[in-house]
Amino acid sequence: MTELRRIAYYFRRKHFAMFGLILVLALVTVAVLAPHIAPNNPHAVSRDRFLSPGADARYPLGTDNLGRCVLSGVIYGTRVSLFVGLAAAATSTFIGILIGSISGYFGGKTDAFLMRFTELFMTIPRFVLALIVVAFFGSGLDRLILVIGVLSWPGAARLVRSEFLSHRNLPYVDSGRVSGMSHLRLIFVEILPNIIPPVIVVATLDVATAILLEASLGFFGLGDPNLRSWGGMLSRAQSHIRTAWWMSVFPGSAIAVTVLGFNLVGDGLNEAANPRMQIEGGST
Amino acid sequence: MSGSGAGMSLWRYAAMRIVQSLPLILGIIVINFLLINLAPGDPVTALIGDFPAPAEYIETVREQFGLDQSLGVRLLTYIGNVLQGELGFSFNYRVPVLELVLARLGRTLVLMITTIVFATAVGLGLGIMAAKWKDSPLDKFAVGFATVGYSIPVFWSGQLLILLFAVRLGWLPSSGLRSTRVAYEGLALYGDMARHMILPVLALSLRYIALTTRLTRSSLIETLNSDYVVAARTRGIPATRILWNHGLRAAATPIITIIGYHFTFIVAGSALVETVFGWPGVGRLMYESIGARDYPTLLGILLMVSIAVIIVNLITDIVYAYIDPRIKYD
Amino acid sequence: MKHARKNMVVFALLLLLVTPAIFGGGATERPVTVRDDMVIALGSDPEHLNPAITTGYPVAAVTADVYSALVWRDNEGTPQPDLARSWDVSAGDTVFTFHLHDNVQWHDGEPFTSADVKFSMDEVLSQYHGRFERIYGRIASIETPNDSTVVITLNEPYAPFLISLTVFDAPILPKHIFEGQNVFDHAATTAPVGTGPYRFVNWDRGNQIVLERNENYFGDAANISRVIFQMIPDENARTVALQTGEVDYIWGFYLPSAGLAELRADPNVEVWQGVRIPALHFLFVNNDSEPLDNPLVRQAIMHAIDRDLIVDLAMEGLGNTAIGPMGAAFPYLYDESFDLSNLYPYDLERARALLDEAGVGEFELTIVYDSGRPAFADAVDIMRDGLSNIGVRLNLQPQERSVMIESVYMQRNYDLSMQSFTSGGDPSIGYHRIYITQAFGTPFVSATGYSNPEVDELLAEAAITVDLGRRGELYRQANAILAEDLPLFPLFEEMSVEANNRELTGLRESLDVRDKIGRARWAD
Repeated sequence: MTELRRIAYYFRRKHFAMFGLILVLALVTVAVLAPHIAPNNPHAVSRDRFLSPGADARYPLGTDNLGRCVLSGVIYGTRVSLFVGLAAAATSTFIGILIGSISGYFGGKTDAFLMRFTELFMTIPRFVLALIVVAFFGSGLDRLILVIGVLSWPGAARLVRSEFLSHRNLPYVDSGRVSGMSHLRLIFVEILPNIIPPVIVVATLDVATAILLEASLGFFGLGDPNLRSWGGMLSRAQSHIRTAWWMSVFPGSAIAVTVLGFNLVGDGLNEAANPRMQIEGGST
Repeated sequence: MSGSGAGMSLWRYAAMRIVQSLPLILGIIVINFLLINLAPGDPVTALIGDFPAPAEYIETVREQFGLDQSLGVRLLTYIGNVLQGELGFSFNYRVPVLELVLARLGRTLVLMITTIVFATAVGLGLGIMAAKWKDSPLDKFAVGFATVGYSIPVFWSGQLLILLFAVRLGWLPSSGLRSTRVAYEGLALYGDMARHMILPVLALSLRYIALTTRLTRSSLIETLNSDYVVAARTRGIPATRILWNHGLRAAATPIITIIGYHFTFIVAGSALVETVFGWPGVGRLMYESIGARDYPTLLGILLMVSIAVIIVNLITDIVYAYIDPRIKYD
Repeated sequence: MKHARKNMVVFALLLLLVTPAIFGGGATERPVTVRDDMVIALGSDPEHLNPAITTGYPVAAVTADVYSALVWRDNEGTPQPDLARSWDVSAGDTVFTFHLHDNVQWHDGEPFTSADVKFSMDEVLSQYHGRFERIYGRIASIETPNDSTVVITLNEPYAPFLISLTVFDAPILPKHIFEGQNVFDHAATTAPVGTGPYRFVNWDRGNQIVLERNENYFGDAANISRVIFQMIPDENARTVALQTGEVDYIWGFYLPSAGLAELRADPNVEVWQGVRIPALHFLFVNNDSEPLDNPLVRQAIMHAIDRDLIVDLAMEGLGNTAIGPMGAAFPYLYDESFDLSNLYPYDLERARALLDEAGVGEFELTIVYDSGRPAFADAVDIMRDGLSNIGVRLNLQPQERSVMIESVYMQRNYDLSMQSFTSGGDPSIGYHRIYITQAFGTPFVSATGYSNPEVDELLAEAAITVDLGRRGELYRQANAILAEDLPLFPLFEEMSVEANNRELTGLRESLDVRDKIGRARWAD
């Protein structure tokens, strides 16, 4: 706990990190309150299409090719991006912890095998594979999360493994082993809590990557069509880029801001958790 | 290098890594093959136009592409073929996959290599300047640029570049490989292609410039604060010489890391950028092959990209080991 | 080649570093046009170049002027002499005697004879061409009394027989090349040898296909000496290329509706629109899925689909909604009394009343469509919004084309599915299959489960009735029934659109614009 408190202390002193945190919290607020703050039903079509921003007070950021409100789309898109980002990062972190801890704790042949397996997943071009899976198996929200999560765990696994490797022979683990604790208990109750800080850093950065990946799939027309998503909006914008810049600029900025927010928080946590960087005095 | 104290020579290390890669490649083939072949949908339907096709025709096509055999047989046949360097015959284009992919690969590589060179040069320069004048406005700009640049999706930066340079200013073509009608020759042809490359390369570079800047800067600062540099400075060696002699050597490692370990991201990035800019490379081919259910081509692309990633990782590891002999070859 | 590529890379790298200075300005002037060629944009490479073994669009696009057929269809749809310089039809409309041109050469110099016709039909088209296979079933015999005569005898009269002999349905292949060979991987399947006004030169995959004028063509030689099919995968890039003069001609199939407004405003570009070969866009309705088995529910949904909005927004105005169940473009089969825009106007009140009458509350429907068609996605978004107003939730399931084919036609695992079917130039070729009773499991026929013996009979008779007055009467009877039963939801009849360089003339001489491009010429 003191460790987390120390991280929080350093984190608070970093302006960029706090800025990132504020961005993330603001985005979460927008996502939660979407129905209350969106001026229009994001799916409602109308004949007032290609309205530029400001041309009509009802549509502050203009309308798209089907006369849908761009602002409402961006607001509702926050939900999709955050949900996919968080859920996919949770999935990948979970898998990463599972594989990394077993690998690092047991070492030896188990480790060698699991690391080969991890390397396999690192070598397969992730985006290409995600594209194929989603194109062939369908692009519901659940599938997006699963695909992104399942393809993104190796980073977390490697980190958890190396942390476990450095912990496995520490005195407290040895004494636990001597006193007859089960492997399960040692892994999940004794060691795991000690390596939470670096895992959180990786998980936060994974959120950013997952959001980018979801948007990229959406750009290829492979997002969930039942929801308004930023990637999906950009996909339609591509056909109208020469006439309706606002269809591209606003959803794209939303992605950039969100990813930036999570990256800043991740960087801040990383520096706060890593005292060596403190001494260096290097920011990002 | 051989016989150094590390216990294993560089060559043996490389050989060992290559041997280790073989099961990796086999695993990749199996995973890709199963995934693609177990997907719902029948590739034959993509081949027969939009009128009900004669049953006899469907049978013939199925037989011709070996789709009438069981999954296991097909997998074994495929692995056997790959071992002989045979990637099969494209369903969609009716030419050998290898030929098809290699033809497109050149165009993608031009884009990727230019990006890597350009991004490394810019990122290195920016990172060095930022480290040299730490905390100056330039440094703040570099840090900000690196953070923001890292957060912008490539396809969106591509759209923005089109908006600015092709639509608004009209300086550069928004898409394609070269001008269609005017058959440029010699130098003019290269010039024409280069003009078409500028925007895609810029879009693709942003993320790598950001990464390189960041890592160059932080590793330079680390080096410049290290004891031996401080000592050198007190001996009166000029700052610029210190920077070049010590700093850059320190920066070399992270840059190799970026090129090596982020290679897969460049692959993904080029698929996106090729779509935005209509660049007829492997990325486009892959996207078209998904639509056309062209299993052999998809498998071929996945395999070749994976092998490329393995090779680049291998080279990275070896160069890494070469530059920094402290790394144990294990 | 390898060396050149390496040099290119090095040079490109060098250039790039100094580019902004060198290439800063003067980029957008129109290139000087070399007016002895014509560049036609394609979206992507055709699968191959053999029109006898596929009904796909791009293959025929490139080969329509490389190969020839017995007849071609003019703007009115009337068959005109092509390889056949004339023909006689027997009294009972069953025996067709074609008199062939006798000075025709294949592009490789071999003479063309009636044996080529018989070979193409008996050995290739009958087995591998989706549309011709069905015609072939109606053929009793094909005889070749001499090198320049072909006699085809039908089992019974078939109204659209002659118009089914064009290069799109019955291209004639060279017997001396394909006989006894596997047509699928034969070299001539990717490097065609035909009798048409253009000969194949080369195919740089992913980039372009080049044709050049056939100087030995048996008809009027082509005006323009080279035709280049340029692959431009990005749809925006295609319209831009037309505006910059890099491309001269884009067919509707490759013309994104999103770019139309800009093209219409460009003084250098001519945008043509109209109905050529009628095609119908519609929603398949799974008649066995509750509550769609209730005609009242089907009618309610039809009232809640704003078809005009779909045409205006998703199709950029390229469609006609004042249609009957088989469209309105064949005037003989249409009547205002069953016009769907009169019978089922967009009327949410009426839709709600019908649902009440049927006694169903809110429900959800799954709509399946081809994820590769952006216009479909837009149309479905519009339908979702309309239907949400009457308590019907649409669950959108875009699927990759072959997955869509599997769910809709093979498994019938869908409620609604957006489709577009071409008439193929005659209702009996393209539209009967949508409505007649069908066994499941065949793609591109009815997947609704609708079966009405009366409709089946009327349509079967219409197919063999050559007299247009009588034929129209049969169709109008069938359409009246279909408008009432509403086994599927016709949305609109597609209007084709094309754009070309304004100085290019002589286009669209044939009903299918891909044919007879040899007649195109540059204005002086």
